[in-house]
Amino acid sequence: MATVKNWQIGREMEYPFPGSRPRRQFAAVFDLNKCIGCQTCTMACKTTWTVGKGQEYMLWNNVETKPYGGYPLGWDVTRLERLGPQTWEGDRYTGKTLFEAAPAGEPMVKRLPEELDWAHPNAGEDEAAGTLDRGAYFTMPVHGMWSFYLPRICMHCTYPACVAACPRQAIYKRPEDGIVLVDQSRCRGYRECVQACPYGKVLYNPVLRISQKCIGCFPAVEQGTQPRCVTTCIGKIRLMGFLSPPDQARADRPMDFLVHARKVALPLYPQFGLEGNIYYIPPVNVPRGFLRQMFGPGTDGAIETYLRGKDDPELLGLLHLFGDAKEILESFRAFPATGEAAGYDGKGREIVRVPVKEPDYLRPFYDAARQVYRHNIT
Amino acid sequence: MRARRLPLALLALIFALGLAAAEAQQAALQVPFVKIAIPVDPGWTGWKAAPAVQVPLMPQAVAQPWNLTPSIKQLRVQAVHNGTWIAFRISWKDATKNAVMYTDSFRDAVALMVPVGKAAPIIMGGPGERVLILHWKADWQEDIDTTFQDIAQLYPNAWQDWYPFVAGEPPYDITAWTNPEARRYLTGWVLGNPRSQPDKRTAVEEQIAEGFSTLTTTERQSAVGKGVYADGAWHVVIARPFAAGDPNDPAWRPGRSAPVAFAAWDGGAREIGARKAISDWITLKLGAVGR
Repeated sequence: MATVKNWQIGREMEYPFPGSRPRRQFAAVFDLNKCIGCQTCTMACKTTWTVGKGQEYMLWNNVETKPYGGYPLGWDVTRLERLGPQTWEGDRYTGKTLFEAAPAGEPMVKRLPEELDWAHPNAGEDEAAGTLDRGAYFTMPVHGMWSFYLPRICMHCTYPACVAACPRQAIYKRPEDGIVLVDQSRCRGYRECVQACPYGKVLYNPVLRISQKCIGCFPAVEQGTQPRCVTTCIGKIRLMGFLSPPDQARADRPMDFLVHARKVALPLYPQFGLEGNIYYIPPVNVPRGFLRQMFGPGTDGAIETYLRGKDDPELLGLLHLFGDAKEILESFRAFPATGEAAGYDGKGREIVRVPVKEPDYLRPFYDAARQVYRHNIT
Repeated sequence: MRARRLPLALLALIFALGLAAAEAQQAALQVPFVKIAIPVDPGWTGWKAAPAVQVPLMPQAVAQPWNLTPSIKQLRVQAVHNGTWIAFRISWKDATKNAVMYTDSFRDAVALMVPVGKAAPIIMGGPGERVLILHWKADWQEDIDTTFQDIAQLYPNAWQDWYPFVAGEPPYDITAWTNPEARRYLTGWVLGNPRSQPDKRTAVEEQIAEGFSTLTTTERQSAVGKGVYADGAWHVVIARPFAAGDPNDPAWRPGRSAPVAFAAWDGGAREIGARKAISDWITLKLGAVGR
């Protein structure tokens, strides 16, 4: 075991390999307040990558309904149960990560999902949980239930469990962009990675008898394009970019701004210890205890920052750049004076410019030219 | 490189197991010369007369992940040679035949290992100390005995309307995936991964290694074999030419001695890869070529 720095848990931790951060790290932010569970991302990924033999039930991108959904079934609760109750002290995780809780003879805590756990990708869909203890979020009509959609892809972790678990070292993290890949020619289908990934994001292909996972749309990323699940999102909830470690963060870079500067986007189950690189803006109408377990101690601050977003031109501007360009935005800038925000490529060239507030158009109730009445006149 | 420190207790355990294995080790295996085409069938009547040794197995406990209580305790091993080929017949008790793999199930397997040079560490060789490994797999045997385990075999009730770029009718047997655009989705197949090949020629994969994590399929595949499951036991023959014109040919030849070691996996106990039972080196005494 080596000692590595995991900033998401505010301390060093044990990992089977010495720390070696990539030159750039693939990352993305998903705004859970905007996801409507339409599965367009799922279908975009599916039709692009997993329409082969043995991939019939394989989803590299999935959207599940929390609290009851899960693909594979119970990927989160079973892992939390296996890890047992753990503790945070402020921003520092004082419990054990999955690596630190490893039993003898294993690099980490593992669990192999059962065959049928992969057969219900939309289990629990649209099923709500109980009421909030502080009363219903909506007051009209009486609507005391809560649920939210959780879209998921491979986290392209800084400390991947799959890499740690592969006895053949057939899984690797690319130094150029941090994307984690299973070498399809060296994999022998042992499924140690399938057991190791706590997010359930390495899947076994029973026809090819090897394991497969999200490839971060690397052929697109290599050409400066965001992945399919990001560019096809009709709710514009996703933004992909490159994330710096906290000490090298630059506030004009979209990922750094959301994750490090505003801390409005949070890691998923940071206590697992993998330093995953898909970040979530937590849903504001879900009980905080549930969210804190899921996103860690930054939850309350992230929600406060998000709710104040209308008074934060930079945050508001960047949130409006989600889903507005297929190119990867290397930097962004807000223009409060003109009410616009713009994104730039690596050479500082403007890729996209959007209004933060849509202009108002007032139209007459009766259009004499077309001889029609308009119901929607603004 | 992977940094792994073995606890002292574990080293003591490995040492103790090693000693136990050494004490229990049988006399060397006599490998008689037979003047016939090499027998690949475990049911060959001549096996009844061939000398046998019981080879005790111990857990692999050096490289993670390990299983300290593997279910296969010993193998019964026989071997014969015909001057150019050597064949091993390996038998062990296994309550369940595991020959098909789903996400949560694993297959039975057995392997033998021979140093390419004079000797090599038991831990799958070491840097510069290469070993040749002949690995028989129950799922490959199933592919050969029945048909390739495609979706229609794995999930008889499954129905898929359509796969892109694939012509024909459901269930779109994998052999119908002739369009290169379609084949791109079959990564392991197009990249030549032996596991993913629909057209298995042999149930034995020939490989080399120079220590854990280095197992590599050789370009030239010379080994053949056949496994039969009957009455709660596997009987597997693994055969290979002594010399196949391959740089990885071991230094074994008729009339001499050579070391060999074994490993076995019980798929029903989720044993695969490093989770296995292994033997110590045993000595093959290869009979001289007779008339």
